[in-house]
Amino acid sequence: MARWVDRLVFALSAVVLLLGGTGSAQEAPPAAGPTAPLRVGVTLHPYFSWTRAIVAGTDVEVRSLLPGDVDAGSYQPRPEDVAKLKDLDVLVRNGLGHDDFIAAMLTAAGNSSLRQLTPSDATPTLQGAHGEAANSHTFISFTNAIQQTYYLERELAKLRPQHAATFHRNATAYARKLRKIKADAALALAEVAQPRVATVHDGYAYLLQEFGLEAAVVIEPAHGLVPSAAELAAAIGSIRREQLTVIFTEEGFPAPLLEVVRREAGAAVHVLSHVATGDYTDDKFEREMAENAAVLVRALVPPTKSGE
Amino acid sequence: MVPEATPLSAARQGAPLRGDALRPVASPSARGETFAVVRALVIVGVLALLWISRGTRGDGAGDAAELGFAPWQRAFATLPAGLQRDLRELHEAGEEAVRWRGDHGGWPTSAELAALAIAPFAPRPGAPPRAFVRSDAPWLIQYLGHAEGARALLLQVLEPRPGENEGEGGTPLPPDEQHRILPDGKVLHVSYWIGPEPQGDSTPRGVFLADPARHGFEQVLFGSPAATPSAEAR
Repeated sequence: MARWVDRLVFALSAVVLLLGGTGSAQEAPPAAGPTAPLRVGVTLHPYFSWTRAIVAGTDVEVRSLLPGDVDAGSYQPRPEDVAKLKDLDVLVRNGLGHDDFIAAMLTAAGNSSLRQLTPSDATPTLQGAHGEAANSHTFISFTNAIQQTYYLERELAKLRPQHAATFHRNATAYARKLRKIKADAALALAEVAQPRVATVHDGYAYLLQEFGLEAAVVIEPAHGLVPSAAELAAAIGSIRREQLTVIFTEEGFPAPLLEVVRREAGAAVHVLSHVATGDYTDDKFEREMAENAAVLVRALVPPTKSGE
Repeated sequence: MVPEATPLSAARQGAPLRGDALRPVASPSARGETFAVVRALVIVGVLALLWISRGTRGDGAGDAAELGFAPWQRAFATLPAGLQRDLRELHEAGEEAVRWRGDHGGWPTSAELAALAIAPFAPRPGAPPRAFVRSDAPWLIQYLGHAEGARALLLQVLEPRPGENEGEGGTPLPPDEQHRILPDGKVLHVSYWIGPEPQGDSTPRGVFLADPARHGFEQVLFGSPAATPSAEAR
C-alpha cells in the first residue's frame, strides 16, 4: 500500500513540475520577438528617405545596402554589402528590375527569415519606352512616392503594431509635404505650351505624366545603355521632326554625346535628378524632387511666367 | 574498315542481287518542284501570320479577354496618357479616402478631399473643373466626377454588411488591388471606373449609379489580372 502511495505522489509531483516548467517558459519574454528593434534594409535612395520619414521617433533601424556613390544600375555586389543582409528583418526593394542584383546577395546572405517589401506594387505602372516590361522608375514621382510611403507604413505597422500610430502620423505628414511640392509645381506648369519633350532615358515617365508632360523621344536604347552613333542620329532626327525644344538628361550621361544632341537637335538641355546617388539622407528624396520640379518649371515655362 | 552494306558491295562480293534494291529514283518535274516550294511557303506564311496576330492583338476587348478581364474591365496600361494621369490621381485620392475613413470613422466629402489639395478633387490648374459628388447607398459609397469634354471618373467603395466581413474566421484575403483593410479589421472593396466617351455620355449627374457598367462605365484594373479576379469586381 505504502509503495503504491509513494508511486502516486511521485507521479503527481512530476506532473506539477512539468506544468510549472511550461508556465515559466510561457512567461519568459521572447528573445527576438516583435518588440525587438526592427532592422529594415533598402536598395534605393528614395526607399531610405521614405522609410526614415515613416519610422521617425521609433527604434526602427533603416539601413542602406549599397554605398552612396554607386548607382544601382552599375552596382556590383560586394562582400561587405552582403553582410548587411544577414541580420535584417525587412528588405525594401524595387522588384521591377531596378535592383535585381539583390537576388544573388540574398542567396549569399542566407537570411531565410527576411521579409521583402516591394512598394512598386502599390502604384499603377507604365510600360517602358523600349520593350513590354514595366518601367521600373516608379520612385521618381510625387504621386507614386505618396502611395509607396503609405504601402510601407501599412506593412511596417503589421510587423510592429505598437508603432502603428506613429507610422501613420508620420506617413500622413510626409505625404502632405510631398503633395505641397507637387501642387506648387503643377500650378506653375499649368500653361506649358509644348508638353512634349525628349529625355535621355526612360526614368522620368512617371514624373512627366503627373504634370501632363510626355517624353516623345527617349534617347537611350535601353536603361543605362549609351546609344550608338546610328541610334544617336536617329534620336536627333526624331527630336527635329517632333520639333522638341527641351531635352531632360541625368547627371551620368556622357557630356560629349549630350553636346552633339544639343547642337544638332537645337534643343535646350536640362538635368533632372535620378535620386540614385549620393549620401543616404532623410530629406534626399523631397529635396531632389523639389529641385526636379523647379527644373521642369525653368525648362518649360517662359521666364516672365515663371517669375524669373 | 567497315564494309559497305550496299547492294553494290554485296554484288562485288558475289552475293545474289535483289531487283527491288535498284529501283531508279525519278527526279521531280520543274512543275512538281515549284508546287512543293509554293506549298512550303504558304505553310510558313500562315504560321507567321498566326504568330504576328497573336502578338499584336488590339488593346480593346480582345486584349481584356486575353488577360482574363470581364467585358466591363480595362487595364490601366492600355489607356491613353491623359486618362492614365487622371486615374493615377484618382487612385491616390482613393487611398486618402480610405485613410480618412480609418481615422475619422466616416467618409470624407468631396470638398474635404479638395481642401487637402488631393487631385482630382482639388481643381487642376489650367484644366476644366471637375465636379465630384459623393453618393451613399447602404454599404456603398461613390464619388462621381464629371468634367467638360472628359470622361467621368468614379471611385466606388463597398463596405461590409454587419456580420459579413470578409476574411473573418481565418479565411485569408486574396492579395489583390481591390481589398483594403481598415484599422478596425473591416474589409473594403475599392474600385476605380471611367465613364463613356464624353460625346456619348448620358450618365445622369450627381446620382448614385447602382451598376456603373450598365451606364457604359469601365472598371480600371491597375495590377496584374491574376491578382484582380473579375468575379468580385462588382
